[in-house]
Amino acid sequence: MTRPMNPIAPSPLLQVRGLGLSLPDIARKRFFSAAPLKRILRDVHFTLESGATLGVIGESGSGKSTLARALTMLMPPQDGELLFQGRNVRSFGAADMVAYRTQVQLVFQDPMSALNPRRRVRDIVSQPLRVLGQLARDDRDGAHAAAQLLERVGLASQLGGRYPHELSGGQRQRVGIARALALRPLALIADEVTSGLDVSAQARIVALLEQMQRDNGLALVFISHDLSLVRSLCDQVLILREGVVVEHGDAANIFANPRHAYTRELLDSIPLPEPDPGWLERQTVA
Amino acid sequence: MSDMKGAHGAVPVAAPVLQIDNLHVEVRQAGRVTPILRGVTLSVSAGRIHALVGESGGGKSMVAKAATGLLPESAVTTRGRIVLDSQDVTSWNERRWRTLRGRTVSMVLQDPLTALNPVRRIGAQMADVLYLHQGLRGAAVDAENLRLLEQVQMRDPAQVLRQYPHQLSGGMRQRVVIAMAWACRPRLIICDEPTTALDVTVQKQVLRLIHKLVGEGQGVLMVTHDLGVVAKLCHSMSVIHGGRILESGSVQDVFAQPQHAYTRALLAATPRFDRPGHTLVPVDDGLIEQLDAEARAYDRCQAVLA
Repeated sequence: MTRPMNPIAPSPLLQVRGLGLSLPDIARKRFFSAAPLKRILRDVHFTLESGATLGVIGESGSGKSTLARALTMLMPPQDGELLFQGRNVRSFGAADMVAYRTQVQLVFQDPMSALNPRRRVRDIVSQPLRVLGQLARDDRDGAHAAAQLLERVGLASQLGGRYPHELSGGQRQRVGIARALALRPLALIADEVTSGLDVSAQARIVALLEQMQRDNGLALVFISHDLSLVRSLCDQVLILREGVVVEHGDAANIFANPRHAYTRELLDSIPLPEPDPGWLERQTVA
Repeated sequence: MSDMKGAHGAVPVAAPVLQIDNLHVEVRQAGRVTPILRGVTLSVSAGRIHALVGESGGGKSMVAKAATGLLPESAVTTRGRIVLDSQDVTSWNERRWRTLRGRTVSMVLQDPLTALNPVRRIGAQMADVLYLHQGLRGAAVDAENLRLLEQVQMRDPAQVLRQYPHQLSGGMRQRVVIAMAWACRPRLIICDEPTTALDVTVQKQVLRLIHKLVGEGQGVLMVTHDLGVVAKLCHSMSVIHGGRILESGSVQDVFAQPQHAYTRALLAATPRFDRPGHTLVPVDDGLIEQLDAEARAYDRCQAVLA
């Protein structure tokens, strides 16, 4: 759309206003007619300042992965506005879109399916630089860039010679993060990046994301079904249910005083690691 | 160490439905021998839930497989014994195991979608279990199917029996699997991460269901990495790493005073929304190295003793 009038007061990194997305509902498709559309996201609003951390919480089917894809324009939304530094992403041409996608990177849930199994880790990690012709002249094969990126995510550079299946789940996920960092983005969209991991590998990924945010001012949209994890990582929280935002605001506030019944139900459902024999019997069944 | 009183009231303890003593299992493949269980000892009593807690690769699924006779061909039990419902099943072959599975021991796996046949209706799959183990046919099967689904609090059970697995939600599928596992009222049920793939609100319902069903007298071995599930559902627990049980005891005691550094490390790495200042501490690499070194030293001692 238009550039901000006053460059001294910078626009927020990302502004989402009334975002809506529908997909064809195959289950209701009839012969000889197009599948009817089903609303996946409806009227989603939020603002992500640079360096901020936003946790998106939702159960399966809430639209949280679709939100990650909409924010990176892998699934362009049909309604509402998506503003990047004040400019409307939905009206970007090809060149602007490439620039946008280098700035807002997506890290996928399952690194096993997101990393090419036939390529070595160093080639995977340096691929974004290769594609955009950003490899240094004395580093044609990207080995040096890859070693630096692996080091940033706490992996030994020797691991660059391995294939994804030769790594542990936590190491694979760090390769995914290293690749997302290759183009020095301003924001990461992390879609359930810790859900397949053990608690210690999970704690390492969280520490890494915290460090990236602190040292590089990286903004983070952390999508997860794990409220405890979101609590330990994010300043802002957005709770999605069936494609609708039920609660959005300051994390400390929402966890201390959840206003929406659904948020309370989510919080009440979490079994905290503290022995309590009567807990299950006290729970009401929905 | 593993006294069963405490948390959930002083219920008299019956003979264990599962007793594993000093179990050693190694995998022999391509000329290499890799120990995977190093002297595992644990017991599960009737009407009780015993948790086996650890991270991936620690050997917890191997214990579950050993207790159901499902160890891979390359795995060899070198020492120790497994007593299931007062029968020593350590060296049983597949044919004898088949007489136990379903009737004496059954299993609930993490992913109900792979546990169910995608091209058969729920009713037909449940009927197989009832025919195989109880010889039920015809109208008796229909009635029992309905009763089982009602027992797992399934909404609209008659409809579910006519459906295929993909038409059900994850929580409903897991209820079907639990109904099938409980169908023949086995003595022991092994649950391998039964709620890991479920949403928290659904997890709560499934945990409640397991809690309620255990009231009928089965023993449950709950294999999990989730210390929250252990704290809320289980009576006693064992912590496993590198195929060794590092600590056992009542859930109350282990959480109040974890004796082993690894147990403390797992607790420190578990996120908690109720403690805002709680920073997650990954399990220390030095600790893991030390545990691995201990495991290797253990293997050398075993080799000398053998």
